[in-house]
Amino acid sequence: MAYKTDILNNNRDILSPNTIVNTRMQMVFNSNKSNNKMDSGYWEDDYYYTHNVHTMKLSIDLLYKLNKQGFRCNNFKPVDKKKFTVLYSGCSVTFGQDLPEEMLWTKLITKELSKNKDVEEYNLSIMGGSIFLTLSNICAFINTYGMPDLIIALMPDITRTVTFDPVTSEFFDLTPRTQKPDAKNFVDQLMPENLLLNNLLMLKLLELLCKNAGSKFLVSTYDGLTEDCFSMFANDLDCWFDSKNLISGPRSVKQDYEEHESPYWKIAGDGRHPGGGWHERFAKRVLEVL
Amino acid sequence: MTLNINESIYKNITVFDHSQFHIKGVNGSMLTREGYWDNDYFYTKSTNADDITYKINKDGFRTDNFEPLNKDNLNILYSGCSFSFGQDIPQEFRWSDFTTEYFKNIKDTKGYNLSMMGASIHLIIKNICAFINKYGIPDVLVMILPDIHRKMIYSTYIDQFIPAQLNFYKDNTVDWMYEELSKYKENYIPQENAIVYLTMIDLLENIFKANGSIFLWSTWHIDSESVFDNFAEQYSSYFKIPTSYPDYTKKDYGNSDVKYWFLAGDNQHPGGGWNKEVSETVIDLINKRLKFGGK
Repeated sequence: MAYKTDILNNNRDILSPNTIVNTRMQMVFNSNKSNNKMDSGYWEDDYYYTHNVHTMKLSIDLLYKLNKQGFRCNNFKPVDKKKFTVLYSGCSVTFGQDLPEEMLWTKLITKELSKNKDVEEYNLSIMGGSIFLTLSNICAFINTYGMPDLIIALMPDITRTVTFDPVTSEFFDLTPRTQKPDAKNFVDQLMPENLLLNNLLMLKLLELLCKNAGSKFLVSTYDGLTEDCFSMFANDLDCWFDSKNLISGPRSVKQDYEEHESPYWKIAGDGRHPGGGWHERFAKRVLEVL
Repeated sequence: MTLNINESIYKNITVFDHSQFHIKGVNGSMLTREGYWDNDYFYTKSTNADDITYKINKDGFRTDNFEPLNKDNLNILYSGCSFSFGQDIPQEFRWSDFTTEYFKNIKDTKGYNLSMMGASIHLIIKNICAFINKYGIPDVLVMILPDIHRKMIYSTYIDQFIPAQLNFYKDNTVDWMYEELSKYKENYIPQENAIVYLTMIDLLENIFKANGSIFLWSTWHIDSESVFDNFAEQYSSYFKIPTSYPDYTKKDYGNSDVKYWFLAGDNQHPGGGWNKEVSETVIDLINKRLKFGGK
């Protein structure tokens, strides 16, 4: 069989446990492959500033401030043991797609923790990210920068995955619910039970790592299917907590949120992602668990 | 997309189920079904070597019954596929048993072998994870992995996970299994297994580092080797065994008059010679990492 080094070596970076992968964001920065999620931006003080297309429709100037590796947080540094380091990870919800940064649940948690700790936070979230990518990036962060004191991940639906296209010889994010038709073959072959098994095992391994390293690890989801699956193993996974009535999607839009001056309170700028009200409620839920 | 969620299915995938399948002869009938229980162990003949009896513990593994790890011992956990299970060779010829015997001369040592015939890297890691959960983290973990092409896959025919691999034959595979494996082979993309396995191994390495325990792993399969060698620098726990498949089938290990020393009873799996050679490498690596040093 010709399953040899050359095929794998082309993808050395993504296969390496030390590489933090940001496939979606890299697509954004590559003008040839632009998915038009963002317009062009500018670099300033080692950060990249870029507008968000959807929010611009509302004539509000919302900028994403991205670090050198394309993540919406400070540039990564080795974990400072004198500080309390929190690592957040997830998909577009935790990235804060079409939402001002200060409304993110991550920011609210950090704000609360900062009342009695010197907190350093990082956000590894990627738009379209899968559970696998979320977890493997956490591993790569740990390998490169050290062990955070607290890791909190908010997971998307379990059918997303990182898959490999033998035609292009590249890995790509497969998001079945929103995938373009050209990925239909990959979606058709997808067996969600297999993804669940991988995800559960990875979660358990990361949980064991955090326990042995003296760190805290928490995981939840905004997705109904993922919640149904993971909650079956609630007794086996110490890291798991349910997000109660905060399952997102159409249900989040219907939830009653108090009036707020921000247009992003009830729903994000794209009319699809949860707004600041949801983030505030989720942050409260996390603080309850903490 | 809907997910066939059945709580009992997932709950039942525990560390031991697949091994029990083998004993029950449901999947491949690697072990003969006939056997007897004696003092909490199940004794059954090897299919290709009638003079070898497998002594199987309560959970279906060829090792002592599992107990919570005694902190006063040097606890070593071994895992792998049929190569580490010791298919068609006497138990004392296994690399794991050579290693345990060596360390027993230095310190109170307890070795457990979690290997399973036909196991994938997937299942090997899952079982290690379950073992750790239940019995604690051993002082040393050594894995000798098979090819990366094997995987646990969900079968809609029986609503259970089954072990999948690329080498199977219509003659000795039940129809539904043949269809499932054919489907797996047709859609198989090695990179997808590689990325999952590399990440899981990385996590294991970090768990053992964080706990101050020793972790070592290698593979006997050249396809796996061709993948893992690329990342050898990033895994301090990775090592190479002296002789991979199929080179061991041509190597002179001496002791030619000793049965099962050159090859196992099926003339395919490695014999005691290869196992002894692997154990010498493993012992050397463990000694280098252990504080009390070697003999």
